[in-house]
Amino acid sequence: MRIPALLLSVPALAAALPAQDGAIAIRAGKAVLADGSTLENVTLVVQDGRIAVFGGADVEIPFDVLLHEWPAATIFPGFLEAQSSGGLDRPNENIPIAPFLDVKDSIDPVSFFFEDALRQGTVALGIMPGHDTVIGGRGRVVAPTGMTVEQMTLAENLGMKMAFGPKRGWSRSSQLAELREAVAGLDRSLRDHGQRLLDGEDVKSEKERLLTAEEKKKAKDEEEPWNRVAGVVRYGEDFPGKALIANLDLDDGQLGLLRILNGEERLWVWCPTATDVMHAKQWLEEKNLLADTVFVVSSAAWKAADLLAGAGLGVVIDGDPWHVERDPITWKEVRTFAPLKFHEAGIPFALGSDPGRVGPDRLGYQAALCVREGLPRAAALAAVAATPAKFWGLEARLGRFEPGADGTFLILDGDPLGAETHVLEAWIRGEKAYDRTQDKRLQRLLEGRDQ
Amino acid sequence: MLAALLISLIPVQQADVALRPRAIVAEDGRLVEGKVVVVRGEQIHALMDAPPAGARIVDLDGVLAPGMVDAFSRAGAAGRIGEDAHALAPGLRAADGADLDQKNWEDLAARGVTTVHLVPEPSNVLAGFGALLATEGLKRQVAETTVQVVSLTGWTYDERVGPTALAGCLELLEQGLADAGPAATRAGLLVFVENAEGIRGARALFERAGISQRHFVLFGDPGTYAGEAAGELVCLPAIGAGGARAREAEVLERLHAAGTRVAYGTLNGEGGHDALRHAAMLHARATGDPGAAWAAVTRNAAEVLGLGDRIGHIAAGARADLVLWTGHPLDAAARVQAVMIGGQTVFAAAPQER
Amino acid sequence: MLSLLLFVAQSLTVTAEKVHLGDGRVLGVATVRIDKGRIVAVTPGGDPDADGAHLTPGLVDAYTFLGVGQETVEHSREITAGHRVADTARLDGESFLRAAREGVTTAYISPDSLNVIGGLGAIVKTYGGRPADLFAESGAAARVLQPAAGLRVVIGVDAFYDNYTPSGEFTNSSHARRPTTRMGSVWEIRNAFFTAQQYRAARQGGAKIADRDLDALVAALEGHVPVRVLARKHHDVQTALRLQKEFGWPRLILEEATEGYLVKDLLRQSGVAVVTGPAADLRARSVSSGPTFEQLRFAAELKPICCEHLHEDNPYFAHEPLDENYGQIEIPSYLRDLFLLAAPRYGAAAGFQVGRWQEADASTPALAALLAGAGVPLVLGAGEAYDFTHSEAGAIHQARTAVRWGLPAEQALPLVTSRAAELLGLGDQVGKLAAGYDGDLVLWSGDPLDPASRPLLVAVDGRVVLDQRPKD
Repeated sequence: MRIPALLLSVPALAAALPAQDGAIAIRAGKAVLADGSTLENVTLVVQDGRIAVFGGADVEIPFDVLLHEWPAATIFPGFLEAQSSGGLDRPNENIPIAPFLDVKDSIDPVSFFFEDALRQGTVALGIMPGHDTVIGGRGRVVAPTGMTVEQMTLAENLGMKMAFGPKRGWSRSSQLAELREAVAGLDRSLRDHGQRLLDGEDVKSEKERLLTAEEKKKAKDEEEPWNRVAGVVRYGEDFPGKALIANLDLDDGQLGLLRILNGEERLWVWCPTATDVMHAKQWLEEKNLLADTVFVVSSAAWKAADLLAGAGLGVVIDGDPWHVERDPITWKEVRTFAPLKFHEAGIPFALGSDPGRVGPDRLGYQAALCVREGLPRAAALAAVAATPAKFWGLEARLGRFEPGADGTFLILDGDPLGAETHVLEAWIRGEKAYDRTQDKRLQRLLEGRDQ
Repeated sequence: MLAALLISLIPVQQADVALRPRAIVAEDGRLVEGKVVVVRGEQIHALMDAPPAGARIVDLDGVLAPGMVDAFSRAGAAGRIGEDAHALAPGLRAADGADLDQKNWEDLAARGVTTVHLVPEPSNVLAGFGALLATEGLKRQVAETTVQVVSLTGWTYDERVGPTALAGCLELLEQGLADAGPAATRAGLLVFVENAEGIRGARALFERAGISQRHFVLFGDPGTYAGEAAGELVCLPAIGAGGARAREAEVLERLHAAGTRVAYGTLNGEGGHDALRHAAMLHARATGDPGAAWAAVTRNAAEVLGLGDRIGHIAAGARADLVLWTGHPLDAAARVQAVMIGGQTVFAAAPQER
Repeated sequence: MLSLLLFVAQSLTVTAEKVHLGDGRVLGVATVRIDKGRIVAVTPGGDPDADGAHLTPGLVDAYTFLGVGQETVEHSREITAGHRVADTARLDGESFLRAAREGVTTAYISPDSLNVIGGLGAIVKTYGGRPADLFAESGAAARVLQPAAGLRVVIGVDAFYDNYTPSGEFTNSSHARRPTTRMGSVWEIRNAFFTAQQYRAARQGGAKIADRDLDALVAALEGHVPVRVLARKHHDVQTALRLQKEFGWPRLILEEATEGYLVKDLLRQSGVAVVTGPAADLRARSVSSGPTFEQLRFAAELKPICCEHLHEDNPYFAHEPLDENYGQIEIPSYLRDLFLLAAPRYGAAAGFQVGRWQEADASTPALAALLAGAGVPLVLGAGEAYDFTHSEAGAIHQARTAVRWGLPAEQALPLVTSRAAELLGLGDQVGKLAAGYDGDLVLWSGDPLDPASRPLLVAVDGRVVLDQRPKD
């Protein structure tokens, strides 16, 4: 509800009045930005869920806005999980070509995955279908807070999931064949349909010659609903009737695939290994879809770093950032830290939280690992706090303390990459979403109370 | 060639036969010309530079080499030679389980393998005695009992009664050696292992029991543990033509560099009848030492069995098990022309038609 | 010439800006000099080898399964007290080099958990032995310091999960008529120690009997080796204390004690020391009680891995990972790790995984902080962490996790150095940077408790395992 601030201008009552929806101010002893730089004594003002002002200690705070003072704490834009299939009841359908699926139908807001993400300081997640697919469906960006999917959603359309790494139990040949067949199948049916429409047009215009004006209008209304939009096929070569094909002529599956081929979707393409990257890049280049693609890879894909340089938007590393191989002669382990290779090749990359690993898995820890292995602090932080926003197309909203950006941030008791740093509070769009002192589960663990 | 055919038609003579091949394969693996091998009865009487007086001279157009010896095999067993009821079966004898009528033997002989050390299956911790058999000829049994076979491999594992791990095998071995007494191990041991821990544990036990004559058969991947037997004479399974990979060749080279000598056996008969020869060829290629490679399929097996110079050599006192090749046996183009076992020619290849 | 090289190789001088002596004291810039494998002097001053680097003693991990594979577990019977894990562990397995490169220089290797009394654990240096692997670098193997350093007793599901009672049918497996419950397991323990007491009395009376298993049990009764009991649930901890009272074990160490915080006062009063296992700082694992959808999903959907042994570097499977050309799916490491945690399998260590799964409902990563705060003598261990090609769960990570979850920072390092050494009876030999101690040290790129810091130099007995110091 938008109440002009001036109406609440009675100073004496300001402290007693509850803050406006999404309106707060924070004064913190330190701020760490997503590029790793540190500022002292900052002030952040959030109104209507968006950042209104960010500056130093001298920033004036509207008297009707509730001030939170954290002289010893650090304020940070928050960690971003670029791509995950957590929080879904199942990450994939069995059907390999399923562009009609949307994660909004599967996200469980109460899933522990989101609660724990928030506890670890993740303020936004790109939820996509899992990797066990060929075309998996649509994803969206959500905040880990809210009781319904709509409340959680930060952006409705993150893009379409595709996989070039084979489905479980499949070979790469079958995987690529499935995709090619699906595209070929669409091409065929579009051409058939175009021809039919053309033939139909001839018959129609013949018929129309014989109709009165009134009869013509009635026929038009019956045959062509108001929401029929023709000319939806925009990819590939021309063929007879191409311009006549309309959205209502196609089913959800065909429409989904069509939107991909038209280049109307951001693609999130699973290519675990270097060979998968090669095949994916080839296919995407053929179809002219490379520009709007994010490659989701495993650490093994470091070998394709030169292929990935300048290709698409960048890379999300899913799973263990180390790639371990065995020398075929000596059988000794050879370890490569993939993020370093991508960094050296100039490829923008994001890291996942690698849930289920043996050892800490939170995003701040992953970034600290990168620093350990030799990456500069700025690159490590970008991978978990800035680059994902770019991949989502939300860099104006997330990962920055600029006016207009979402009022989303963390209050930390130390540096984001620090060993002992905990999330004290998490704010999402101006609302407090997490308070460590109210975290019952955490308190139970820390105090060792009987479960 | 013709001369060899003539030999086969003449019954065994009491007079010495002086074989004069184009060349013989010497101990260092090289071809040496101008040698004469004098055969008397079943044995090689002498290796000379000229035929002795009174001997019947046979000129052979080919390369004469000792017959190959399979250091451990189950080819020619009548079914299984194994005892399932108990993990300790030191009294079992492979000789009792041999089937001398199998065609297998003929095929082996035709490929140049003249003696085979038949062993019980290494599926018991103490598996019994091996037997040394000739592949052809009248008197097939060269030695009725040889070494005692010990197995510290997964083949012995039995979920029902144990052992289920090396720890259990070592326990049983200690107990079994004590119970069986010195007779079981008098001729030495052939110990099947698949890891360093097996070698270490067995070695410690044998020292305590005062057994010094033992050789290890390295199964699994020797590259991961053969350092434990560095400098010794070990047995290896012959891989056969299809199995060799870059790592196997590297392993052989490293074994050679560490002074570890090898004797090959086929155990399961994998790789076909040429397995021993192919193993020797790979060995020669990997180590660059044809002498070591040839020893690995001839006289090293004799050492493992404690038979000294009796088989696998062209030397006075050795059995007259000889094979006539068209060329050096480690050369892939060479073929077997004729095979003599115990002084008697048992095989002659059909003359090639051009 | 060779001995001269060896002599030279065991001399080392390292200078760092901060030197942690291992007992809690921290010096400023100081130099440690090693000669003939021993620390000769620790003197203030010197020119630091690397900016911001810290020096610590080599880490001592008092609870590991390094090199422990299927060959160590004879599970046709439950009591194999006389089996020494040092006899059948793979001492040149790759996990030792992993541990050494993470700074762990001394380790206690525990027998596996499949048997109720599994045998005798060993104390090793993680580097400096003679590898049997033809492709290993010289020295890349463990060196056994003590082959009988603890008798392992297991109370809990690990040992009996794969036993069963025959129902109606004839059975010919050794796993039938074996304990299938806790009380069955505890009966086995009591029966074994009772028999050992009788055996001891009989031998003292002159009987000429010998039994390796009973000898080991007698050694434990007399305090020559500590009894180390794996007990995760709090009632199992109490059972262990009861057994100690009954049989008078002079030395008892509790392993894991996952729910020990629930009985921390009882523990403190007993004076028994605890070695914790790897802390689960996992998302969605320790915080909730019971498996979440994610774990059930992972456990349900994975293809079974045939014959993979947990504590073993098994080259047959490890060396053939994803074969790119055939499009076979590789189970990503994060799924595999969770699968190992979640799903029971046959073979060695499977019971261990089932136990860790079933008995860790009430686990908390704050265990170390809670026990230390209650005054319970405590040491941190990493358990199976080094068996994975990559885990962030080794000894130093345990220290970091403990601090993150409430342990005061200055108490952390001693729990993986000097206190661990004392627990293993090596308090005068390892775990400290002081003259006369073994030349085991680690130079870290920063504060060792910072996850962004890694080992730059690791030395065991003066031999360098890892040297990534900046060259200038």
